[in-house]
Amino acid sequence: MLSAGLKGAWEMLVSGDPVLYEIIFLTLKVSSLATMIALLIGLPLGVYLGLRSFPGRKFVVSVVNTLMGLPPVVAGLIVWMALSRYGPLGFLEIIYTPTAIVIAQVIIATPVVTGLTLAAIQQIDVRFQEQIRALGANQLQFLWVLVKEARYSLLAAVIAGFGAAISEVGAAMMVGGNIFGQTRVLTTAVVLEVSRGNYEVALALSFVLVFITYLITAALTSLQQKQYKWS
Amino acid sequence: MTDYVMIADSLRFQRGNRLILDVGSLKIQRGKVSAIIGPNGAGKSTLIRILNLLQKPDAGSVSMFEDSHTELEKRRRMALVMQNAYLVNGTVRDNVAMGLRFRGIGEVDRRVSIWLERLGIASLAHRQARSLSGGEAQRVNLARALAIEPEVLFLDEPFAALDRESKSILIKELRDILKETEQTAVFVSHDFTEVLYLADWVYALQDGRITQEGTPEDVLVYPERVDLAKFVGIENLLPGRVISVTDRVSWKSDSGMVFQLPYREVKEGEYYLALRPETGRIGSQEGFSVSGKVIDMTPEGFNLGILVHVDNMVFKVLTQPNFAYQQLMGQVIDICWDERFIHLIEV
Amino acid sequence: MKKFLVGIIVVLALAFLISGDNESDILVLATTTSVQDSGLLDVIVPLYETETGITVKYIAVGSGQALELARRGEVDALLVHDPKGEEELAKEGYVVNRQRLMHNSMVIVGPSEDPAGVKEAESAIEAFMRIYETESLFVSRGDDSGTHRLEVSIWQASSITPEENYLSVGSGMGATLTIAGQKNAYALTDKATYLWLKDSLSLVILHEGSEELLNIYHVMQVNPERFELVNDEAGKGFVEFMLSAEIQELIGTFGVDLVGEPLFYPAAGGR
Repeated sequence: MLSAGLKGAWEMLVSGDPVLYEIIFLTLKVSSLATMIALLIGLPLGVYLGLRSFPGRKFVVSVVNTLMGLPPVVAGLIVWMALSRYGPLGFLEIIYTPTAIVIAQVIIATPVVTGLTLAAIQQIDVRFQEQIRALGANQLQFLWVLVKEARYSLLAAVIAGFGAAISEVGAAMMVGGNIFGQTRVLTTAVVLEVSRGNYEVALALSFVLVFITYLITAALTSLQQKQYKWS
Repeated sequence: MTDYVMIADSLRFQRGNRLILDVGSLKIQRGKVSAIIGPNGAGKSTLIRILNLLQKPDAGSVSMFEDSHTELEKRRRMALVMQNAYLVNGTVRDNVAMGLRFRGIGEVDRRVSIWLERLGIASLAHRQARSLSGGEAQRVNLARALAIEPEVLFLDEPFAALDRESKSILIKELRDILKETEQTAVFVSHDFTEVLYLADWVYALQDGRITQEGTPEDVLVYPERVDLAKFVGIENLLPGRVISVTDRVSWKSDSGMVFQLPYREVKEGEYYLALRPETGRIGSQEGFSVSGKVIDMTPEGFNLGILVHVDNMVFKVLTQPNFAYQQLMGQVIDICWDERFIHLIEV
Repeated sequence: MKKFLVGIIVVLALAFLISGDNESDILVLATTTSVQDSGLLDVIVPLYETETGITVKYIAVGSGQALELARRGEVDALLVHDPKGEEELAKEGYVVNRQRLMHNSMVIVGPSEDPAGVKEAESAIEAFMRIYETESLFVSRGDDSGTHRLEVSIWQASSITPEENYLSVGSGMGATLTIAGQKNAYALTDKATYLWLKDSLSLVILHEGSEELLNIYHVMQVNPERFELVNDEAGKGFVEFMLSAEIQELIGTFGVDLVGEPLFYPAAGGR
């Protein structure tokens, strides 16, 4: 059955099935946009939490850590409540659109990126940081050195954030609706095919999902390792 | 009039309820090496961080570089070398260029080359900084700080992590550079031989307070407090009291012996007799001289410590080792201190 | 920090732009998983969209959730198969223009050896009682779907509360049938899904055709007078469209090429 799935996945890919490619394209578009937004929020926030102390910092950090383990369906439910027609953000009319999935995935991926960024920054010796400041770095130069210093861990944060976004299904199902041609992504398509009893198709789609995730993380990882060689 | 680069006034710094630093006044002379000595936890690093504008004091101020207006501008006129090199990923050259790049100074290559050459690491220029040995890394660290040509160079225990050999070579090179460039420097150390070698002026910091300042000799040979005396390595600290002061001082040890010492400004009362082992020697002369039995010998680097038992007291003198000393064990010998090395500390 | 927030807002705004299609020419339709799984809507909806220019968002959920979405005014129309629940909803005024659309029949499936003797039963209620009395295993959807609700109503009619030998799996029809097949158990299923999966299951149809097992689908509008955001015209248009001769004919032939008989029988007009 596994090999049938693998074969099926391959056949679906080479046959150039437009429906499949539409789903793949949407999946990539949604998850990479969500990852980018999560990075825009999570990287600065993680750096900020890693460097600054302020009253309530511990609380914020514990919230971030808790949200890192937030089940996607819970995120989905919250986003659904907010975006639904009679929810507080219902006027935006974005429920059951790819945008809604992006928002849910941002909520799922941002704590992951933030938490891992925080950990990466905290791993840098405080005295190293002082040394950089003492060398006359301004704030921007200082942050740039820290980012370079922590780049392997930060790339891991990027990979983990993307992984969290592309692999979740509960939220995409709830706020996207798994609508054919509009909001069907790879994970929700897998769930649908399973409920239809099309295990082979589901398995083939799963392989496609794994393959795409592998390609992207492999690209990021090679970037990570290449930089390691240069340094 | 003495020219000061930096004047600290009434600095206080607390962490929670614990007072880390309480420094009334501290002045850094231009062109000189000022040393801050004190045991671990005395607040030396905090003081350095405050002077380097890396830490704000809770109270008090440091005035410096009045023609620069922002903290960053001021900080860019200083440099800091810490115990660990904290080099960034990249080549040696990249690291040495860092301070110059941050400041947007031109001629980076030329200045970097000069300092690589000056610290004898030109051959390492293209090596990965993180692959260097401790001694090499510390040279890169020094070059990185010196390339900035700072108006004040802070050195926070720069040799503490090095082995003896690298340390003695590097310390000499550093001294030559400091003298040659008339570099103003603030040097933190708990090793009094380094201090003696490098410093022009010494501040003793204990429990966050400056307890004494003066020339290295003042602080190392004539400390005013017992704890400081212990810290600076005065191992012969003998309890007793001054029983009379005329043109000489009569001092009686707790064990009951009375010694006639040269005149000091003291009153009758309890005093420790403080003698550095390094300043004593075997033999007898004017000043202070006792005889007793050799009870032990200890290796002290390239020197030999000889412990002499005199009437319930033990004196230690440091001498150059000599094969003849092996026979000293158990014998009765004379040991003596020159008049000027005799010091009394009020209890 | 302020710049940071502005940045986030800009990015979110960009995200909205990219996703587009935020006009009000949208019909949100709640339907059940059984309809989605059949693939019927994948055929009908594009026809409707081309004809009217309205974008349809059809959300496949359990019947319970579908009815709740209507109660909250979150959707414009329903296509469901829980007559009891629908009637209640209509009585309370949440839905209007409720029309019988199509039906199919539920069947009781089980192992071919049929240890409970379901084959001899004359009604679904009797079949369930036999399963219970012979302590044979029964696998239930357990997901508050229309199928599940029908099953519960049969148990209630037979005055039995099954506890032992009863697996509530909380899954869709396909998964439920797969589990029943693996465990040699009985299950209630719509005929369409069963026919679809027949080849990979070791289950056979043991009982069908009795009145309790009639599975009736209705299409209806959510009451636009109750919810101002409900799209009245699109809802009305959709109900009409579904009852049109063209679509009714399509329903009557859908699936024949795949499983040899229609998955649904058109039933327009009646109640």
